[in-house]
Amino acid sequence: MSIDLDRERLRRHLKAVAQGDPSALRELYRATSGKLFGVCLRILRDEGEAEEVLQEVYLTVWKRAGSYEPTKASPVTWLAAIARNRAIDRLRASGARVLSRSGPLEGAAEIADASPDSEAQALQGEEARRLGQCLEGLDPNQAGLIRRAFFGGLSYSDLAQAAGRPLGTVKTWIRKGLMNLKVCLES
Amino acid sequence: MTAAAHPQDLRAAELALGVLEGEPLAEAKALAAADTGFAAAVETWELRLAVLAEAIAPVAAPERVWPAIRDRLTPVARTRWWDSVDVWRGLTAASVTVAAVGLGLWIAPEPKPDAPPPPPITAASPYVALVSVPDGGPALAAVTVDTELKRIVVTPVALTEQQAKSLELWVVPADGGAPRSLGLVKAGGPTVIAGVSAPTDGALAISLEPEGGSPTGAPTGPILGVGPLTKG
Repeated sequence: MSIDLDRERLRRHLKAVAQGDPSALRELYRATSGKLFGVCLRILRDEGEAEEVLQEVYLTVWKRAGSYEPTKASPVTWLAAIARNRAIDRLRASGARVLSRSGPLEGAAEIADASPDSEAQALQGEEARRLGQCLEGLDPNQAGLIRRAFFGGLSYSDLAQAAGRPLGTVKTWIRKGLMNLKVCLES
Repeated sequence: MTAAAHPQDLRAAELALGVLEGEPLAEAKALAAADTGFAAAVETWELRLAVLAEAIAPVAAPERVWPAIRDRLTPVARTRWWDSVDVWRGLTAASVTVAAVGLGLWIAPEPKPDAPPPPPITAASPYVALVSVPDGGPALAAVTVDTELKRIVVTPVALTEQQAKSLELWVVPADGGAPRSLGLVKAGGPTVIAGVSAPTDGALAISLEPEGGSPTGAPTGPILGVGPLTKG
């Protein structure tokens, strides 16, 4: 598979997509669909649903490419944010399956499977490396819950149930984690 | 003390992460819709957190996905111009201002000293529109439409000419039909457009076009502002 994450090229594609050029969307898709399909699959854990969401992601990009601002994020980060949001929306729309599919036991496994080490290795680019380092520096409970919320689309009370912890504890950990993350990223 | 402890930023982070529910979720969503600063903070957090998703290994999508996307593009392409206004609506006021400055336009709020006052909106000019930068941005021009005299008066509030470019006024019919040109407008003072079929519904928009106006009869340049036409 050819995954072309060259930033400048992706920026040019996005700019052309914003001007309504379908061939630029084709190029963007060729270069990034593997990455975004991976994101959709990770969150939805269902190929059929991930395929549908992947279509929605690129249709969203087709309409919203004009709002991409290069100063705020790399093209891949911006695309990954759209994919994550779309996938989480789909996950929530399918309601009760969220918890039945990933109960408390799997919750613990999930925290373990995205270990800080493997993440730091997989993250590319300056911002990504930085986030990896900052996550690594967090209390493991805080970082684990943030990951679980991010990939599972779980609310505070879902998380408390999944982690078998009191709601107040979960809220405190997440909030501390988020604020520590921000301090680290801005330092 | 850093800004990290700011409760509003924490709320933005919680909304971006998706952990809120019930009343706090409804409140945060309402705040994001009403407050561009808060919406920008949410976006910043979404982008920060999205870096997590980048760590996920790529998986080749099935071959059938691209053709399915391609087949769904056509309607968007056909109505692209109007869609681009939706795109603008999605932007924060701040980013719209930046975009407009990038185009060489100054959205200056102060009125030109030599500009005559806008014509009064009276019974003789029963339809009005305030053409503004989308998403609550600044007003660019006030437009009055006199259906009896078939006359349209465009009074600039904050429009600026650009070299080798023209400003063109359009009506976008309420039924979603193609935009129709109403003529070019000046930035330095009121423009009176006479002898056109005066619109009474839909929205008015001003776009930046090549000198002399759109060569195609449809808007080709960026949409500077839009405003619904209402009975004055």
